[in-house]
Formats: sequence, C-alpha cells, structure tokens
Amino acid sequence: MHKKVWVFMLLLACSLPLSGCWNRIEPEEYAWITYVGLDLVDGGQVKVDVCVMPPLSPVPTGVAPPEKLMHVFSATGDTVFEAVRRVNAYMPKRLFWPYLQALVIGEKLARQGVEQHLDALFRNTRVRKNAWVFIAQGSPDMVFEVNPQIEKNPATLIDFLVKTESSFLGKSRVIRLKDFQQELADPGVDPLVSVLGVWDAEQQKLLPPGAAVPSKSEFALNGSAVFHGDELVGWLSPDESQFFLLAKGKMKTGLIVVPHPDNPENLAGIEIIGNKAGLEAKVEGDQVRAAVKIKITGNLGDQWFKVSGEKAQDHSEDPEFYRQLGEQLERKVKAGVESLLARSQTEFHSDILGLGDYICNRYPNDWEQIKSGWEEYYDKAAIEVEVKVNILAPNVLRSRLPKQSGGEEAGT
Amino acid sequence: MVPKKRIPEMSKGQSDPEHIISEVERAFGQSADLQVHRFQAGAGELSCVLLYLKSFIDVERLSQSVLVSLLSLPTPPVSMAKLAEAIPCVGTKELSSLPEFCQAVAWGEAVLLVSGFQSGLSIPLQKYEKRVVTESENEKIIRGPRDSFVESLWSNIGLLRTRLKNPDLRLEVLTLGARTSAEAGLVYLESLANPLIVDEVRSRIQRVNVDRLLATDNLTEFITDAPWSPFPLGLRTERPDRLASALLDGRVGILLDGNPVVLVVPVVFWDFFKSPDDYIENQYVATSVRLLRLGTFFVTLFLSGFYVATTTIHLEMIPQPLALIIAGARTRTPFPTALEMIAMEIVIEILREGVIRMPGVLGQTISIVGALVIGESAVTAGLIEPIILVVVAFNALAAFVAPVYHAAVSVRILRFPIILLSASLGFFGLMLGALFYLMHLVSLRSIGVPYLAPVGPLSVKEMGDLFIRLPLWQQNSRPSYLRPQDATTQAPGQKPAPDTERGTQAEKAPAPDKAVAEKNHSPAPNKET
Amino acid sequence: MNIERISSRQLTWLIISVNLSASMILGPSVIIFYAKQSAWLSSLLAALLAAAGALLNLHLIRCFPGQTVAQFSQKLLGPWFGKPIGFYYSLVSFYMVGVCLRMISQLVKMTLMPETPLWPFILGLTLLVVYSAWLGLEAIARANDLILPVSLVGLVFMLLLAAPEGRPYWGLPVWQLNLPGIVMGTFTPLACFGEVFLILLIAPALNKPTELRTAAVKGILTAGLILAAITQFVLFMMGSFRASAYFVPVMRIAEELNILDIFERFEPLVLAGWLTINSVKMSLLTYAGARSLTETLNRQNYRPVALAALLVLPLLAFLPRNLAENLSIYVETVAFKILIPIAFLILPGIMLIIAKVKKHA
Repeated sequence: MHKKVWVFMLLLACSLPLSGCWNRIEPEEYAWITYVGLDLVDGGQVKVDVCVMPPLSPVPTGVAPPEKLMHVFSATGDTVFEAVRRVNAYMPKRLFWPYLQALVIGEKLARQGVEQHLDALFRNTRVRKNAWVFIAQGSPDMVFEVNPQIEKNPATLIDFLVKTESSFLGKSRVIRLKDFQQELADPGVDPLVSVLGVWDAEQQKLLPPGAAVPSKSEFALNGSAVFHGDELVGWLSPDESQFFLLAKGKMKTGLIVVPHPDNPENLAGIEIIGNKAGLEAKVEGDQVRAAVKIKITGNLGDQWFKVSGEKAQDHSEDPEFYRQLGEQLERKVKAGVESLLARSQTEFHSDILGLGDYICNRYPNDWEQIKSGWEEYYDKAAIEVEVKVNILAPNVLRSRLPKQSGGEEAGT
Repeated sequence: MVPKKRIPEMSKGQSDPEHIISEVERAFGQSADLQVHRFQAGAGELSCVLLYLKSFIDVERLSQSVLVSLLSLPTPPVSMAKLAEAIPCVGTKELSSLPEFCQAVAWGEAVLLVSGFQSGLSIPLQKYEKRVVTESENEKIIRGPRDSFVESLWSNIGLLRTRLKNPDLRLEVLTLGARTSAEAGLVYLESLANPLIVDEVRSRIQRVNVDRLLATDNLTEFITDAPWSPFPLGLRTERPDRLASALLDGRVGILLDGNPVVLVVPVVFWDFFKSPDDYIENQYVATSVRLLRLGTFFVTLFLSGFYVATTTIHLEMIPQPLALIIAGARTRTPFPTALEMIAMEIVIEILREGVIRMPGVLGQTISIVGALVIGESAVTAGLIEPIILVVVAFNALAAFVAPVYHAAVSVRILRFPIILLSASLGFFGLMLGALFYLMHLVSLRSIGVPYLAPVGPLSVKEMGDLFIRLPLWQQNSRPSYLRPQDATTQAPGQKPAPDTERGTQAEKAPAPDKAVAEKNHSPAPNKET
Repeated sequence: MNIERISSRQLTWLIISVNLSASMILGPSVIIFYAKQSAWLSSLLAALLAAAGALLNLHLIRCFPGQTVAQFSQKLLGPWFGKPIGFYYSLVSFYMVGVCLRMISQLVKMTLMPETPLWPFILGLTLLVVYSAWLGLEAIARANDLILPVSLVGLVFMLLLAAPEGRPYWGLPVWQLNLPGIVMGTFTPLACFGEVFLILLIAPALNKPTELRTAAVKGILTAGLILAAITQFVLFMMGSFRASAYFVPVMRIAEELNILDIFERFEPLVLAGWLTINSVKMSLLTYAGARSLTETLNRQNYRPVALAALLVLPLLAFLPRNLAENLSIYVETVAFKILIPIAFLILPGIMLIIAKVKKHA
C-alpha cells in the first residue's frame, strides 16, 4: 500500500515541472534597463525615462551588432510605479531591473523630496541596489542624449566613469542606491549625491543645464548635491566634494594642490593615496561637540615653480621638507573642511557627516532627548577638525632637484 | 556442492554403471560433445567407463595420466578410494548420487565408473580457455601496476595471492545459479574483516537462487541493500591492486567465475572518488585531484540545471556582460532554454552510446565528426544556442573525470530531474532535488555501513583520506566505519626525519616498528583504494 | 519497531539546526528593534532561558528513561489524560512544520519568483519533508551532519564578504544595559528556541542516555552564541535603525553584496542555505510528530502516520491568507505565545510535579 502511495507521490512530483514553468522568462524577452531618470513635469506628474539597451550577439550567430545602444522610453504618471508601467504601452519587452546601472534624479523632483518617489524602487527586490545614483541639474532628459565615443556600451560606461573618477580625482561623492536609501532612511545623516552632467566633446566644456547636446558628448561628474532630509538644498563644487570625501575618509586616491613650502607662490601637487577619518560626537549639556579626525597619506606628485629661475634648493632628503609639505596640506584641508561644515550648518542645515547617526547609535539615550530638535542642535554644534598628513615619498625623483653648479635656467 | 533445487529431477534407480550412463545421456540429451569411453583396465578384469565433455576437458591429460595409469593397474582395486589413489590427479572425488554425476560432467570433470562399484569417481581435468593477463581497459591509471583480472576465478585468486602473501586470506567458494552453476568466491582477510560483515555477505550470496548469473553485476542486484537506489552500493573493479587494498581495509571481495570484474563490499560513497593513482602521486597532487573530482561530480549533476535556473529564472545572478551575450545568442533560437538543454543532453547520450558500439578506429572519427557536424550545423541552422552546446559538451566531458565508470553513469541519469525541477522552480527546485538526493544518500547502507560515512555520520578522524589525502605515514588507521578487527595499519611515528635517538636505538636493538611489521606479517602497507 | 540510534553529538547538532533555522531569519530584526545595541545580550539571555527550560524537560525525561512523552504521559496520567498530551505534541509539531512551510514558500515566492503560484513550493517541500521523515531519525541526523557545517561555513563566508561595508560604531556601545529592551528582545528567539521541546519526543533514540543533558544544553547554548554573533554582525552591517526596518536583514545584506563588482545578487543562495537548514528542522518535527501520534495510538510503525502528514501539512500551510497574517497571527500569536510555551514549559512542568508527587506518595 505504501508503495502505491509513493508511486503516486512520485507522479505528482514529476507533474510539478510539467504543469508549468511559471517564472520562466527567456533572456531575450527582456529589455535591459541601464539607466532610469526621474523628474517632475508640469502638472505635478512624475516623468520616468527608461534607458534600455538591446542584447549583444556573440560573433558566430552572424547578427550584426546593434548601431545604437541607448534607447530612451519615457512615460508620465501620478506615481513612479504607474509611470514605469505605462512605458509598457509601447515597449514590447519586459523591463528588466536587475542590471540597472544608474538612477538619475532631476533637480525639480529632488527639490521636492525624493523618498516617496523612490519607494517603488526600494520596495522592489528586482531593482539593483548597487546601482549609482546621480542628480541632474535641470532635467535628466539631457543626460540621456549623450553620444559617448570612447566606451559605447552604456552598461559599463557609467561604472568605468565612476571608478576612474574616484581613483584618479576624487572630486565627487558617488553613492550607490543602497547607501542612498540607507542615508535617506537614517534620521541622523543627510545624503550627498554626485551630480551628473554632459561634457561637450566638440567644444571641450561642460554643458550648462538645458543646452542642446552635440553629437559627440560624454558623461561628466560635476561636484555633488546636498540633501536635507530627502530634499535637495544646494550644490557643492568639486573641491568641496573633495573635502567632504576626505572628512568621511572615503577618498581612495585624489590630487590636491598646495602652496610649496619653500615659497608659497610655487605649488606642489600632492597625490593622496590613503585616507581615513574618524568621527566622534557627544552631547554636552545642550550643545553637541564633535571631532573629525582626518588622516591622509600622500605622495609628492609634482612641483611647479611660478617664480622663474627658482628651483629646488639642495640635494638632500630633508624630513623637514616633508613635514612642511604635510603642514601645507593640513592647513588647506582643515580650512576646506571647516568651511564646508560651516556651510552645511548655516546654509544647508544638513548633517552631511552623520553626527546624528553617530550619537543615535553610540548614545541612544541622549539621542532620544535631542532627536526632535536635531536640526537646531546640528546648526549649533561645535565641530573640531583635526588633520594629520604623512607624505610618504616623492615618487622616483628626489624631493628637490639637484642644484646644477652653473645652471641658471628653470630646469623643471 | 549439490546444486539447489530446480535441477530436472532424475529417477533414483539402481546405480549400476549402465544405468548411470543412460541417465546422464538422457540428462544431456545426447549432446554431441558428451563422450562415453568404455575400456577394460586392471589387466582386463575391470570394465570401466569414462564420461566426459570433450569440449571442456583436457583430453590429452585424460589419456596420458588417467587412462595410462588405469590400464597399467596390476590388480583390480578393492575400493573406490584405492582406485583414486592409483590415479595421478589431485582433487578426485567419490560420487554416489545421480545428480552429482550429471553435475560433475557439466562442470568439466571426467567421471569414472567401474562395474561392480556403487559409486563413481570424478577427476577434475577442466581446461579453460584462458585470456592472458592484460592491462585494465576501463580503469586506467598513469603509474602503478598494470595487470587486471581475467575470466578465470582461480587465476584471479592467484593474482590476488601474489599481492597478499598472507595465510589470513580466506577464500570461500559458493555455487550459484541453478542453470549456470557459477562459482562465486568470497575473499577477505580473516584478521581484519569484521565477521558480522562477512557473515552477512555470505548469507546474502547463499540466498541467491537464480538461473542466470553471467556477470558480477547480476549478483550485485541480488545482494544490494537498497535495490531501488540508482547509486552503486558495491564497487566493481578489475584491478587486483584495488581489491588487495580493499581487503586490507577490512572489506570483502566477491569474485565470480567467468568474470573479470570483482565486486567489493561494503563501500561508501566517497570510494568512488578515489583512484589508486592518489596513493602513487604525492599528497598535494592527490588532494587537488580529489577535490577536482568532487567538484566535477557536482558539476555533472548540477551544471545544466544551474544554467537553466539562472538564465530563465534568476537572470540577475549572471553578470550583465554575460547575460547580454546569452540573450543575443538566443535571439535566433525558437525553443525555450530548458527544452534545448534536455534535447542536447539526450543527443550527447545518443552520441556516447553510439560510439561505444562503433568498431575500432571508426568510433573516434565518428564521435568527433558527430560532435562537430551536429553541433556546428545546429548552431548555424539556428536550432541551438551556442552557449548551451558549450555547457552540454563540458558536462559530457566532466562525467569521465570520475575514476569509477559505473558510478558516473548513474549520475548522468540523475541530472535530468534536476534540469526539470530547475526549469520550473529555479534554485528552489534545484535545492529541492539536491535535498531529495541527499536524503536518499544518507538513508543508504552498504552491508550495514552508512553510505555517506564518514561525512554523515560525521567522523573527523576519517577525514584524512577523504577530500584530502594526508601523507601515508600519517594514515595510521583503517576506516572505522568498516569496523575492522584491527584498526591500525602501521606503526605510528614513521615520518621520515633524521632522528638521532632512534638511530642509536636501532644500533642497540631492533626498532619497535620493525617488530610490529613482523608481527603483522602483512606485506608493505601499500594502501590503495 | 525499528530502533534508531543517534549519537549525542548528532543530537547537539540537530538542536543547533532546529534552534537556528527560524531564529536566524526572524530573530535579528526583532531583537535589534527592541534591544538595539545590546541585541547580543538578548540572544544570549534567550539561550540561557531556553537552556533552563530544557533542563526542566530533561529532568522529566530522566524520570522515565527510554520513553517518549507520548508513552510516559499515558503511564503517568492514565490514558484519558495522557493521550491528549501525545496528540497535543504531534499537533504542535505538525503546526510548526506547516507555518514554516508557508513562510519559506512565501519568502521564496516574494523575493525570487513572484509569478509562480504558492502551491508548487508547498507541494515540493511537503514531499521532501515527508520523505525525510519516512526515512527516519538516523537519516535526518546524518543529513544534518552535512548540512549544518556547510550552511554555517556558507554564512560565515557571506558575512566576511559583506564585512567591509560595515561601520564599527553602528554596533558599538556593547555594554548598554537597556533592560526592558533586552527582555522584550528575548521573546522571539526564546520562542524559536522553544522548539527544543522535541527532545521530549526523540530522547530515547540517543545511544548514550547519560549524555542527553550535556548534549541538549550544549546545543542550545551554541545556537544562542551563533545567533548572537549573527545579530551583532547584522547590527554592525546595517545599524539598528535600518536592521529593524526589514523582515529579513540577512537577505538584504546578501542582495547588496558584490564580488569584484561582477557577481551580485546572492539572495537565491542565501535562501537555498536557509531552505536546507529548515528542511532538517521540518523533517525532524514531522518525524517526531508522526512518532508521537503513533505511540499515542499504541501502534508500532510510524510510517503510515508520516504519510498522513502529506495531507495535513499542506492544509496547515494554506491556512494563512498572506504573509502578514502568517507572521502576526499564526506564528507570533498562536505558535509563539500559545502552542510553544505550553509544549515547552507548562505541560512538562505539570507532568514533572505530578511525577514527583506520585513517587513520593
């Protein structure tokens, strides 16, 4: 009797795959979303731009590679989700979210507050949370009109750009969707988001918002946007973004030019190769005291002598020179971070370094008392900035070029 | 030696020679090779009859040793025993009942009947057509011994004896198969193998009562613990060194006359990932190769299912550049991935089966041509996507990494349910299938030994010769899940090192490990499973 | 009746699997919500309390060596009061399997395959669970010998991969004695650990009965330690605020993970690991429930009852209408507040008192 039951169960188990492959969707049925743009249109509706790429064929199938790799489809709706679904009115394939590369938010929507609009994306498990988030000055439509020349594949383009920028320049705070979500949700920290613009490859300049996009153009990162809560409140220049990254300890590599220690009119470029930052904050009475400790290690990248005929003084490796070089950098970073923080306190009222988050986690009881009035606490907070720089090496050349006995001309 | 029932009944009449001859002739149905040779021996006073099958007997020896000595008997013997003494052949036996006579003739013995005696005499003069000992075809190794078993039971025992020169080696011969009367040999080491296991194997073999027993594998199906299981519960080998090392682990070998394949029981699942090569190469090579084999096993079982699940259900797990290419490759194919996968797997199985039957050199040519032509044109015709072809071809190759061929065969079948489950439920289905297999595997036993030991039930001590292979001087114990009577294989502390203390000791007295080796009286622990 | 035997180590590992299977997924979010940075204290406290409860059960078992609760309750209370207890234990076992089936199916459907109906998941899991229960305790214990270490190694590997994303100060004030929070946070893991009541049902299978106590307590405490480690790690990865915002924070970590920026989206693998460790628990509970029912009915072979579970389990699994109902009513209220406390503490307590009184009398 048991054997019969098991045979029956076996048949049942076999019927499982036969009765249907409910979730079976072949790869070619998808439209691969690479970028999504969100913005508000007149009348308060949300406009969604979905940037889709066609599949690439391997060589032997004989299909020619597609000419255009970015196809933009737009739709409007009352909510983001509705607008997204409306795209399917004329988009014959399923939208596929897990390969989302970048989310570009228009300025208008960002100024109104993003959280409610992004809910549809945060709630959907299919959306790739490792995608990058950008703010576009003006409308995001312009960004999607770029016609990149060097890397045509939009799936890798933005990733390459972000990684290259952050490992050679470090002047924009690029953030992944998951971190953006985290910082939006967290009451004690306000996010900073990179700004995506368009580079005119013909005129060699950054296009202003709303300009017509020429046939040769590239994406460009251009500083950062500051949020307060979930609303966009202002812009940071690339240099300010750099100080922000240094204060967060997130600078991988980057370059800062400081006055030369020998003569402030000359310049020295310091390549930052390591950066750590520690944050401490506590509530004392009715004031918040915080300390930001920034550690930087760098190399001497280049020296630039403005005063003609002047050059390095002597031949020896002088630790004092490095110390002075470091001090120059310390001074510059300290001033930069302090002014950035002052701006955040007075102009934006947004806690970009996450003091609140620190207190919320480290001193939960104190946080309970001050969380309702955190904005005022932050504006009044006394934040100390301490910078320590260690210049490691002058790269392969000696730190000062050897003095030539009779040479008078500038030799650098 | 009396065969069990189901032999045609014979009338138990008067057992005088003429009657016996007619009965035997009747039993053999006047078979053309049955010879009845009548002659007068013992100075013409003794009328004798020799009954034998001329196809099966060494006629030369029969005439030269038996006939000559009988004819030159000076006086008629008083009893059959006396007569037997006069014949210069070892292994003669006195027979009395009719079935015995028939059986003896069928076994290729010459039966001597003498008028006036109630009983007869069987003289073992079988002549086997022996194959020479050649290299094993199916279990090739790179280095190490090359000989393999042949069809004759006794030659095989001889091959075994040359490796285990030990009086402990026991051989029990049981006769099986009512119509084939095959001789099955049960070999084990008395001092190692657990008597409970030996008894169990013996009683299971004795229970077998079948007509047809032509291959060792037939026997396996009758004595296995789980008759419905697709996994092999006995290791079939044709390598004497493998059998020898299995016996040294405390296992039992079953030989069947007329078969070059020996069945080793009990086995565990992991034995199928071991090869004699592992003990010949150094421990690093052996370990990495073993891990590779294990990995390949999972690849064979799950890769096609994994591919179907990821491409059709969990596409987000595939890196985007790859996914784009897969999608691009699929734009021209009309069938769903799962269907293509199953179809191609079947095509590969057909190719494989077809090539086995193909004669000689032709086989290899056709297999390459078949693969190229079918694959290439299917892709160009847009029937199959090229990536599926890559997966399937890799899979087919991976199946041959398994050092034991017959274990790989069942795995190949088991991957079809996995493909189906993956196609319908994705990773959930794949895991479900894998868990079903796992639960089945852990419930299996081979002659009472848990099939997944020493992993389930876990025994960390045995791990030294499982996924990794420790150096031989560290493998001091036999697998405890086989419950051997003597757990240690060798003296501890044999790590080669310039040990001064031991050196001085050796000058004074025989080293302790030497003494142990003498006591054990076993050959060098050349442990190969 | 075939006698099955497991070793004390296998029992320990089984208890770890049973305890972790639910608490690993449900625990961290709830514990962190209440206890914030002292979540690890909560998990450890839960383990200690569960161990204390288990000692009560073990004491009871010691009074009736070699018998399961279905057998000795009849002996102790007579068939009229004893049989309902046996029935109750098999009911609780089957019920826990039912809600667990539903939870896994729902979670897999929700996160991975939204277009698939629920029944194939439930049918497949039911077949697996009943097949394992049919094969018996030894097979389940052996499978667990393989599943538990592999799952834990996989988990550790995943957490290590995710570790660079964490911030130390998110988990920092390690000594922050927020007592009400800690106690509130203890409840869910304690209820999950309460499933240890099944030692009442499988204790006689241990091959060395003297080691029962150490084996069980060791299992519970180890599970508590592992849970504390996971919880603390989740805290370190996500911060208390965000960790308590998700049903399953571990899944979120898996979703955001990437290796070399090429391999992403590991949640199918995490779910697969969770499925395997849960299949051990569900099989064990089904086996124990079937066994208990068989002994209550004074039958010899438990296997027909295990087959009957093929019908009962899907019925139980289809009871809740949605995930919210399953979690809040069927798991948290009915299972955690009623069924498990009775099975784990109240009934054993009563039986122990009666046993003591009867022996004294």
